[in-house]
Amino acid sequence: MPNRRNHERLKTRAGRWLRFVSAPAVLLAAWEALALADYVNPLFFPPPSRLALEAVRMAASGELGAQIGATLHRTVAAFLAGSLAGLACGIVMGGFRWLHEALEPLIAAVYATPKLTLLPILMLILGVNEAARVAVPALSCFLLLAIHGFDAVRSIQKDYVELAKNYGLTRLMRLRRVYLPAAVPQVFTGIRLAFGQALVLTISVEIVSSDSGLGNMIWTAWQTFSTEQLYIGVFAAAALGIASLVGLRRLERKLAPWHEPHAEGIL
Amino acid sequence: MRLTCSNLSVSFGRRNCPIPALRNVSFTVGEGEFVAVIGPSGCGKTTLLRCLAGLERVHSGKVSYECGGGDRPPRILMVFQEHGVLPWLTVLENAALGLEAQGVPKRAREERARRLLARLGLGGRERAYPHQLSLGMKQRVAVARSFLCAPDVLLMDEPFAALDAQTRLKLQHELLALWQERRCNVVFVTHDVDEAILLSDRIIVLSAAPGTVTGEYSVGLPRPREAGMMLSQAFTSLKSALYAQLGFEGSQTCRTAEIMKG
Repeated sequence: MPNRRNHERLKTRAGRWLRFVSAPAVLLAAWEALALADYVNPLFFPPPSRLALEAVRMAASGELGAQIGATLHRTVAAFLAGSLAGLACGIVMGGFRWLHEALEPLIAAVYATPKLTLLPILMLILGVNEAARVAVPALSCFLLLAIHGFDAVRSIQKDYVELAKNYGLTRLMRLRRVYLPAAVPQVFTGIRLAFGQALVLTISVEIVSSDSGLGNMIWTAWQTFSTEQLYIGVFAAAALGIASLVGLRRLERKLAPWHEPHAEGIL
Repeated sequence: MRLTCSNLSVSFGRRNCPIPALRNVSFTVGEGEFVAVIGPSGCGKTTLLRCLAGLERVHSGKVSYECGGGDRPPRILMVFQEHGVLPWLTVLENAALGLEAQGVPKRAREERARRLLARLGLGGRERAYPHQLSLGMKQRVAVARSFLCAPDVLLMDEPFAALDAQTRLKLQHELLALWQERRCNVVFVTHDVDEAILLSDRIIVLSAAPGTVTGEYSVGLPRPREAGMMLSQAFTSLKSALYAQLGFEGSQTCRTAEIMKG
């Protein structure tokens, strides 16, 4: 009875969506009710309905899009530059043990340092400019991909390499058929973490030193006490985070369809 | 093709404190012969196969292959016990991997792989990934890959050990049928006495570590073999001889048990 099965699947899918949105919905509804009933100061906690209206206005005027665009632009630039360099570094470290031993203390030290504390130093080196702002999240991406790229190379099952050799695969074929696909899941773990970090750090840097982006928008809103814009900035940042997570999951599923799905989730 | 293994010794561990794994192992496998190697677990069966495949460094002794004419290097292929299929390749790609390495064009190799897979009951599953298959299906894919390469020597490392009894019996039959058609030398390592008798022409018994050859038995059963033969007189008497050789008898078992406790 394929029809019935389809129906069941639909029901569980709808149910999952319902559960997925229920907690935020309850929270927003409570907030709305409290604000409307004047239990909380609407100046500090403007009701979500007003936030939505303001968001629509900001979106229509292009203001919101410009800020999101600026943040996204920095995030993607930092993510691409940092991740690619980091991945290359990780793979090379995986191939040469001595290099890993030489670089490990350095990587561990920088990894453990809160990256924002490096912004002043990077500004001393690069100048007070866009390069320094992007360098902070890029550095974080570099470290994450170096670590996960290295792990990916080192954790390849020796058995698979032996099998490939036994069946006469050439070096190039082994790279394409064994090393690269084997590394994909681990590398993707690094990529997911790196993109999240890039977003967080870009917004943090914007709060401290920038005249554009969501971070700047949030901080300016705080200083001018425009609480509506403050909340809209935070919600936009959260939405960006979720969207990137979903996008990267989809991409991974496309690139590594053989990988057993982890936890079943709505995203 | 004739495979000769003479005075093979291998040890692991550090140089000043080596742990011997194999000691003076000698045997031959004749043209188109199916040889089973049995022995207690940890006796170096897998190490022996890895030496034959050239995956392990041989410390002393020699493994040699005499080709009957033709100057291409002999094709010595392993069927692994675990990790025998690549998880990121589909069933079809896995089965055709050896042909791909030999430079067979995509269309031709996929056609050949498809035909053999269909015969092994995997028709319609060509696009599946290994994690969607049962253990038995995975081993069928591994067997298909090895036979597609037309090996000179097939080295099988307990390929059916992890399967349930019925699946194992099925795969044993499929293996025999394939081998019957495309004769090649087989060295089949197992710890299962029934399996060794049912499949092979000759059985080599290894002792506990360090493995040495303690006996050789030829199996007189006619081919093609059937599961029904497992009840025959010839089968059961060979089986009891092998059990005796392996030390599952009276005082011998007790002594082994004591040694294990100590």
